[in-house]
Amino acid sequence: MKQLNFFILAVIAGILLFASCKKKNDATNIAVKQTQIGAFIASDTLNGSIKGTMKTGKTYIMTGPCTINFGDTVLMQSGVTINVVSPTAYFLVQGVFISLGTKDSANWITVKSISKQDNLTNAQNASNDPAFTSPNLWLGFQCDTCCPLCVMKWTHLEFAGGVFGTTTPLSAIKSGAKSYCVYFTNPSGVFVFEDSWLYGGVDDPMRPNGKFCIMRSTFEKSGYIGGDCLNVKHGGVGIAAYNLFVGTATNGTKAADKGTNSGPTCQFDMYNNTYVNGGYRQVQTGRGGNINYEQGAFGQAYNNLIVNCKFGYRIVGNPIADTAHIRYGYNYQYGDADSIVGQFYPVGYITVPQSTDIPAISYLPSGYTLGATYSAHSLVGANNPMFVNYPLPCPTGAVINYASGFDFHLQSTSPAVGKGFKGFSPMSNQVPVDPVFGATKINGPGKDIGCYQTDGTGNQH
Amino acid sequence: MSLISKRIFLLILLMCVKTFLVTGYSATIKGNVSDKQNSEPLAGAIVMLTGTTYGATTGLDGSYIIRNIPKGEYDLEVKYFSFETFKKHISVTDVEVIIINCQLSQLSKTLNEVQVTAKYNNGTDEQARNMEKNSNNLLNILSARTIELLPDITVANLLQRVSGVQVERDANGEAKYATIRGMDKRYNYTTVNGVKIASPDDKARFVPLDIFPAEILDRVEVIKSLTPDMEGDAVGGVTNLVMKKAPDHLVVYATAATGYNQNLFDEHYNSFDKGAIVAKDPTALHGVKYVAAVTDFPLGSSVIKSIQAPPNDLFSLSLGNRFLKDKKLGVMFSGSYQNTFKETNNLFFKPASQPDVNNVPEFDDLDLRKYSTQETRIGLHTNIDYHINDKNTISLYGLFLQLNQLEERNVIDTVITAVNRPGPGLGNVDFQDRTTLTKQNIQNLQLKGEHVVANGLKADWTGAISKATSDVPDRTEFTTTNTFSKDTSGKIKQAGATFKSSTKSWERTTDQDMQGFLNITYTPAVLDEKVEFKGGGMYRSKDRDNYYNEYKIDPKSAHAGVGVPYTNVQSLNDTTLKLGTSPTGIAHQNDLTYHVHENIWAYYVQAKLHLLDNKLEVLGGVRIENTHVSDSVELDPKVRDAVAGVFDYMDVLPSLHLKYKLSNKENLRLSYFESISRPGFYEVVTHTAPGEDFDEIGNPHLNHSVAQNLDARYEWFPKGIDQVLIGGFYKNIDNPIEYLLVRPGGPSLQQIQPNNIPNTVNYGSELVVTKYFHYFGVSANYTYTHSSVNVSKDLVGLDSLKHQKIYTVSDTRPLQGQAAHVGNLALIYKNPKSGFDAHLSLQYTGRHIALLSEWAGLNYWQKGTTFFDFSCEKRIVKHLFTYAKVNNLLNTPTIVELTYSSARFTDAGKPAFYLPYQNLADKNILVERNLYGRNYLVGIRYKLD
Repeated sequence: MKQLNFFILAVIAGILLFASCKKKNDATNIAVKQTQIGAFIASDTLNGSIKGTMKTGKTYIMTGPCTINFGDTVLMQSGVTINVVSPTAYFLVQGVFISLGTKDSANWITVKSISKQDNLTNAQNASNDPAFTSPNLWLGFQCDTCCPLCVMKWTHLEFAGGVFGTTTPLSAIKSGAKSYCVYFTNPSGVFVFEDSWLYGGVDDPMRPNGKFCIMRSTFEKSGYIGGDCLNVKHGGVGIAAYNLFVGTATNGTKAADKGTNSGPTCQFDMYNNTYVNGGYRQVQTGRGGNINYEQGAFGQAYNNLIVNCKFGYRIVGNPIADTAHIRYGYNYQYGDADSIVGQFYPVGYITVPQSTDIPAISYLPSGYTLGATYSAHSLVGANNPMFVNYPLPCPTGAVINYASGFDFHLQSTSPAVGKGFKGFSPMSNQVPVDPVFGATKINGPGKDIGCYQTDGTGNQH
Repeated sequence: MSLISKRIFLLILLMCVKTFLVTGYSATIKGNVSDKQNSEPLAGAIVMLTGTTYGATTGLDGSYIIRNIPKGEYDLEVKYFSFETFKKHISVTDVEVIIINCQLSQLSKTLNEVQVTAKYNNGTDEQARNMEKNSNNLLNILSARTIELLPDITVANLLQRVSGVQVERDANGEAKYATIRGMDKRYNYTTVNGVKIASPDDKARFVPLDIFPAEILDRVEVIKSLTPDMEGDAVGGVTNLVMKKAPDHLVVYATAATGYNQNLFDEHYNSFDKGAIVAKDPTALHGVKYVAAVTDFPLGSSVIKSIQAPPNDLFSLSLGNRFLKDKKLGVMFSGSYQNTFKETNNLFFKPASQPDVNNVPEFDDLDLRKYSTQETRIGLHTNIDYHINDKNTISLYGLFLQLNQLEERNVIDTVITAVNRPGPGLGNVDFQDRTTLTKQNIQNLQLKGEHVVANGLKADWTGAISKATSDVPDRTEFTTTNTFSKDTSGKIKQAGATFKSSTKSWERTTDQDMQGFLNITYTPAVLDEKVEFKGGGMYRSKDRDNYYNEYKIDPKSAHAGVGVPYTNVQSLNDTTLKLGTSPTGIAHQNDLTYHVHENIWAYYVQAKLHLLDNKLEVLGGVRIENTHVSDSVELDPKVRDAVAGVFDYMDVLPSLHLKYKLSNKENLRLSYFESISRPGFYEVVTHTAPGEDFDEIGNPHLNHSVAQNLDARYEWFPKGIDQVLIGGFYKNIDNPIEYLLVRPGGPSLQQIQPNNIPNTVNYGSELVVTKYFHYFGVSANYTYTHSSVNVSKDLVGLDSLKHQKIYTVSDTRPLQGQAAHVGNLALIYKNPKSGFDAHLSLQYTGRHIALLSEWAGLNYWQKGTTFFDFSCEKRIVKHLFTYAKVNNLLNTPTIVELTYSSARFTDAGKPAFYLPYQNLADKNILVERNLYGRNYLVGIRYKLD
């Protein structure tokens, strides 16, 4: 009997062993061929109407405005660089644009003549930062109302945000306006930005007013002296999750059901994002620094990590957000100063402090009314989220707006680990899951607060 | 009002009592003096008992009264210019009342046509009434005499006295354009002596009426029905300014006056150095490739000095006479100079681009504006006519007008919602000074001929050239950001100021045209001269050019979002400033640099018949107008739509006018005409231009409006200058054009754009009553207008899942700018004997839409307003008079409201919603208020005629 028992145990152990071996086999990465759509683009310079595939490993020079006509597709294989050399250049996307960078071989759409200035004496010094003020900034992706699909994976998008002249590619853009790095204007089209990097942006860096999925990406220096990084209006429905926002001028993610196009009510789920140093370059006071819902917009905001932002997460009462349908909680806030912790629930707005928020809301005075002034000195420097490599409390003058040289992963002992809320379902069925024509993977709620998960999922940067 | 009417009543009572008392002791002679030919009363006739000091002057109704005459024998003598003297011997034997009515005959002269029309002194009310009575059209006239008496110094101000006219004021309170019978300025045109002249206005097709000094006018005609021989592009009406013509004897008018604006007593006037304005932009000086530097843009004109404004100066001189044998050559010259200072205050709540659920209003900004304006007007006009012989006359008319306006606009701009604002007046507040010099000129030369070609065949022709220019150099907006916070004691204090930005622009508009008119009239003798045929045509070639260039100056700040610390303009220089985008300027490529060419050729035929024993006059005919417009904008056609356009259209405009003489003093009129209204040149050009409250954009897809108009009027001219006019009108308008607030450029960018709206019917009625009782007169007019426009609007609602959704709902409202009720009441006292005249006028404009929102229920409405004005004149010696005018007697504000309860916005406990200045009795939201202040004017007038 004992032998039988031993035998059965041995079999089970063997199965387990076999299974675990098999699991190891799962990590095998078999090379896939590069996707190609249409012919390769023959010329090394991009200008005028373009279609076809940009070949892996190549560098293309963009010398002026490029149009992807309706019905045409432009695809960037991995390891492609587009160097924009004209401040009047933009992509007018009426057809399909797909950039398929990979983790090992990312794509770059950049202006090589501008070098990043990440170590300026004053960390938020903007007027000397070429990311905002270089005359060589280009004009970004302008996706027309007929654009069905725009996808960017493992792609560095840099130094857009220049100013349009008197002529603009979309009727919705006023002459002389500052460009958005990506302006997506088709409410029934799909916009995917995943595992990618956005550097710079002068006004709002992105206005994804369609079905969108913005996942696991890094946003640095978004907005010069104003601008919300992901500014979603009427017609915009989608998700921003597992993103890192460092030093946004105003909010990282903003939703307002403003505008009268044919699209649906603005719905924006924002979860497991990390927001660091947001809101310091907005000239007007009180505009927010990370999460913002206003004017009829709704969505879910959970598991976000908000560090040293000028204001806490903001639900606006005038014009009022769709408070009947907004769900939020489990948002983790950290502040180095009285002025920051005193705005965890920003004064003048109607954010309802949630019992699940961190720090626990017991510090609010009894009889606290929404938007009232309060002081919470004891919270200064409390609940350090313990980033792997970013000093907290933040040294004077080090309110940085870039990510390089730092690591915003959580240490295993961080109080944010394991505090995530997995009991909600982000919206689905908006963006198709597809290795080429959609989102590769849409992560659900994470167990840890913020964009980096201690199990290695989440943001891969 | 009640106080004034009480006083008048008392005054009348007193006079009656006095008359009664006096008659107790001595004799009284009274009666009426009239024209023998037509029994019209003669006002101002001198009635004397020769060899005594007893005498009187007839009043406006031709009546006179001489009191306290002792017993005795007298020779009564009645004299009136160009009439035979009436003489009668009377004996006064008792305390009695002797009534002597007399009719004077005109001095016998050959009554050729010139003299017939000169029967009435040019510019008198009598002449005006007579023309209203005899004209082919529906006409209202203000005579030069009325103009002198009215408290208005520009034509635009005058027009508000005319029945059915309301005026549109610009930001600094100056009346500029006329809305006639509820039809916006675009539906009305302006002519000088019947000929359209070029406009210096960069936005409107027609001449702004404030450029004309009132004093060079003989009369103003407002014509409300169009005959085929008139240009057909008016739906509301035509304002025809008739300039003074040569009289048949020496006439000299001269005035000198000074005045002041009440606001300038109370507050300082913001002045800036006109000399610091740079006449030409860098592109114009150095070419399109020139890269400008900060040093190209001195900021001297942004240095604002608070001064006590000097008083206004107004001068005018008119000289006229006829020369040569048989007075063949007539010359009339008028000149006018006005230099006025004014200050107006305005506050404006800018609506947010999208309201809350259920269209609960939201606001973005509160602007507190103060306009300090100096206007210098020069008007010169010369009219020379030469009667070659009985059959041929030619005349030459020249006009030069100049308006220089120096305007300083100071704005305090507070962001008021959606921002964490601790309360009104706190947080970031922008201070902006905008300095503008606008130089407008109009030159116009008209050569006319009138010829009797053969018996019954007449021809007249006009050739005219006209050029208007507007130059706005170095218009500068200078903005600083100021932070306000409360200190511990709760006092608001300024925490700091930084320079935000400055924008400089140069704009030039040139509008020039050449035009020719030919009319031929044939009255066949065979038809007993009962039928008059008329035909003719006209051609106009017009060119309009606009040039625009703009530069922006930004702070060269050390830290983004933080401007350069600001103390004064002088402290800024090229070490603290840098040039914004486009250091080469935008002259070579922008949508405000454009050219428009327009050709109009039109021809018509009409016939006038006298039927039913001359009782019925029928005038009918048709006019055909051809329009060709082409425009082009300085933009690359590859990247922008509509950079060029050609618009061709032909309109066939029939009309029929019936006038039935019920009696010698009564007419019944019925008229039908079709007419059009063309979009402005500026409107069809694709453009974006900075406006006063919002940016304005063009619409190349505008269609011209076409209207069918029906009018009926009963006219009664009981005697003298008394009149009663009762009328009704009905207009069916296809493709009306209105200015809508739209958002083609994104969800937050609000712009104003002209758009066609669906077919609209506009109808109403008019009443004019003028009645004189000896020295007193009452003149009243009232117009009711109704229109109903149905354009769908947006409503922020909730769907079945209670999510915000924008619905389209139907919305009914009157035409933009149209007041249902417009009225005037004037009380007039004219005493020809003592030479004292006084005029108290009340002008009421009912509530109307000031700003059209794209959201249902959120239009801005201007409340009904009543303005009181007073003027008086007194003769000092024979030809010398003094006069005084007070405009806006009660300092009436204009109030614009949103018909929505202000309760939500007046709760001091909710600073996020709180709006200051909410004081309307009906608890609606006050969204705009303008205070213009009283204007005083005193002067002397020399009159020899």
